[in-house]
Amino acid sequence: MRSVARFAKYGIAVSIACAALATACAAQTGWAWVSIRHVPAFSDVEAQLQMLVNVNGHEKTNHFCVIGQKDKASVQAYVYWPTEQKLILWVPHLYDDEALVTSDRYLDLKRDVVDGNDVHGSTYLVTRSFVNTTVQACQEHGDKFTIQKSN
Amino acid sequence: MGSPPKTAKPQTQIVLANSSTDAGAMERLFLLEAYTPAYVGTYDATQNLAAMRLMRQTIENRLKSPGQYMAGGATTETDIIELGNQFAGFGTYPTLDPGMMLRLQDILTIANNPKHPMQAAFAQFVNDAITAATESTTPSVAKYPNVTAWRTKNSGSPGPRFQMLETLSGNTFYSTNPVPPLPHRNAKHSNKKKH
Repeated sequence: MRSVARFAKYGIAVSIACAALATACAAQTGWAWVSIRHVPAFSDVEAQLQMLVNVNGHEKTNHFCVIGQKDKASVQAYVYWPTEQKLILWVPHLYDDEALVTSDRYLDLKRDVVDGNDVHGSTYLVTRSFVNTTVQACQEHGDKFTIQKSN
Repeated sequence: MGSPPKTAKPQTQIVLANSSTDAGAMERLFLLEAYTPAYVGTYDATQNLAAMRLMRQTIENRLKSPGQYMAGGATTETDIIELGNQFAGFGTYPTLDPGMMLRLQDILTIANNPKHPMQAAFAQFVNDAITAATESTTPSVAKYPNVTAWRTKNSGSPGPRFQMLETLSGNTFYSTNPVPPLPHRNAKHSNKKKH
């Protein structure tokens, strides 16, 4: 949450349509997968990914898929990083150019995923079904990025 | 001689309880789990305090039967937070996940920076976490006294034995279904006792 003023221009409630993803929208109850492409809160996506790669990346070339998740109240996104086997929740905030680095749901897909439907009360562990569904939605409807580590 | 120049009243720094205390552990957890006032969607401070109180009640309810929540042997709120992979980034508390430590520092920096445009909102955010972590919970001040879990909204259930309550400030809260009584080993004997 570094004090970066460029986010101030997005100090408005996010309101987006289903971004031409009628199929994805209709298939869900209460929330829908959406593209982040035209959502102002995620317009700095490449800068956020670059920061993430420079801080936590180990490979020169990094592939990403980003998919938004919208309900009637808000929008958030998941960032799938197959290069590092991570799935990261992105809740957009003002003054925050390290949203991905500091996410409180920075899931390690080798460690934080359980088989079956029971995470035994955990606030953050996820089921393999949830991961598979999210990654599949991202592949079908999400936005793809390739970021080179620059440091 | 004119009147002396006015000097700004020094503001009191907001500090969290020591990380070695239960209050300190809970304050850090609540700040990292709730939406901050800088969330670009709808942020409601009243809802946020309600969410933090549900988090506190979750910890207190789990402490009554820690074995049910992967924290067997827990005797303190800190134990509940640290044990059993239940709360992200707190598995090696008081050492926090580095990214989350950075986020916490940012929250406190804004809350204590009078020049920041969102300082007042962040100060309230931090003070609400302190309130939720330190106020008496007897009787419960939480909206749902039976709350026992929460999840990032739209990320699935904590398990089949949990019942959804409400989504507040980015998290969906749950209660635990009561464990059905085991059938009596001798049904006939059981029936006889009723007569």
